[in-house]
Amino acid sequence: MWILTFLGFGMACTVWVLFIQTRARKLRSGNWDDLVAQIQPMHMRGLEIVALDHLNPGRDQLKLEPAEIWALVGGTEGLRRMEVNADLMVSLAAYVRRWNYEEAVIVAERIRHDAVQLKQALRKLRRASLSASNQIKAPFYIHQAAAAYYLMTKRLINLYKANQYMLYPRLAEVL
Amino acid sequence: MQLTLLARLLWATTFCAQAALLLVLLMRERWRVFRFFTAWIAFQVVDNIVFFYLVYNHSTAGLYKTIYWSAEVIDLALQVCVVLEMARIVLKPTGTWVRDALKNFLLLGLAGVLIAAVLSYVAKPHSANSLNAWIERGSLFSAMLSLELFVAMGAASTNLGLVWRNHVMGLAVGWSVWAIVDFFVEGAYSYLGPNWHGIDLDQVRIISLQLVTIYWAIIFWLPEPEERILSPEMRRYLAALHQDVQLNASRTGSLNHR
Repeated sequence: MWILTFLGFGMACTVWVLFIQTRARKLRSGNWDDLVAQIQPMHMRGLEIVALDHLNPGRDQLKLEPAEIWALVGGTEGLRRMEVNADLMVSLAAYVRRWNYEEAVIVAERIRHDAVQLKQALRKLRRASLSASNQIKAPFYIHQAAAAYYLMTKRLINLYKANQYMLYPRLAEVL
Repeated sequence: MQLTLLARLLWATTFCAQAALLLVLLMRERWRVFRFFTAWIAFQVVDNIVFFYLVYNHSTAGLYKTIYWSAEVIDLALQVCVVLEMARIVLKPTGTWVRDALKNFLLLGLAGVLIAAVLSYVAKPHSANSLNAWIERGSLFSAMLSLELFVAMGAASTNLGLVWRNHVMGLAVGWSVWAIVDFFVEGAYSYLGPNWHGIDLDQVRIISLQLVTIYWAIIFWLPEPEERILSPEMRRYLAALHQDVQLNASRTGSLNHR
């Protein structure tokens, strides 16, 4: 029993090390075209509606039904894409360091903070989906995730708009 | 103590590789950034010299054992410091801890320490003597701790999308290879006993350490792009930003749990 636990633990650590090395290499190989090409399309209009409902509440704050919120962010696939794109946006913000070091460092940190909020919300959402009693919280977590993602895209687009007008149009198009 | 020709050869080549790495770290001034790593390599060099002396001057078994295990304890302490040093470089890229990085690292690290302690405690050592049994457990714990702390550091960093610079990346690659080999060799010792190809396993570990040491010497010899530094004002702003977001996050967390 001990040896099985030990081997299982060792194998898990080895797989984790390989994952860490692969991910670290990917983050280092910051080819702008490759990063942009990896961004997965999102239904931004729907996401914006959900995000603004959370960030800028209007008079009727219950107008969006849970099923509608779920559909607007693109369901499970939309949430998965948000998570993938979040990591790419951090790398794209860090890329601007070569033109405006100080602003890029600060904005990249803010985007990283948003990415952490997004991932936390998605983690809570996955946990909530496992138990029937917690599923009522799901719309709150989707709101949080959508708001974090929306802020990330706005920060990134404005960073490029201010510092790299040549690359800005292509980035705005894919986001 | 009688050593085979192969054992002497491996010992000598390990010493040469470590001395070469130490020279690289000192001559290229890498010690300014990697202080604990340099201290660990310097300790290995001195350790080899001391043991050459002890073996060839026919020291008593008691003295040899005392120095051997004292050196193992210092070695473990320095290894932990090297992983913490890597964590400091990777998780504090602009001089302040990236939000959640320290917390993630400490949580994963503590979980790793706990698992290593439990697995070492429940292991069945082969030594009949109680002290030797605890020493065996200590070696196993040390091998597991080194790998687990590295995993905790790497996971905390990549989870936050932090980019590793050339030297720390090279150090991490070498460290992970060596830590994985050490982990499985110590596990095999512990489960199968030192009589089951114990010398062969030890040689696998020594050769892997030599290859990693040579790799480190090359990596640390090569230059890396100059690091740009934030102005003091921006550093202060970034520190305030981290604190502010940290505070907001903890407030949000406490509200969520009400």
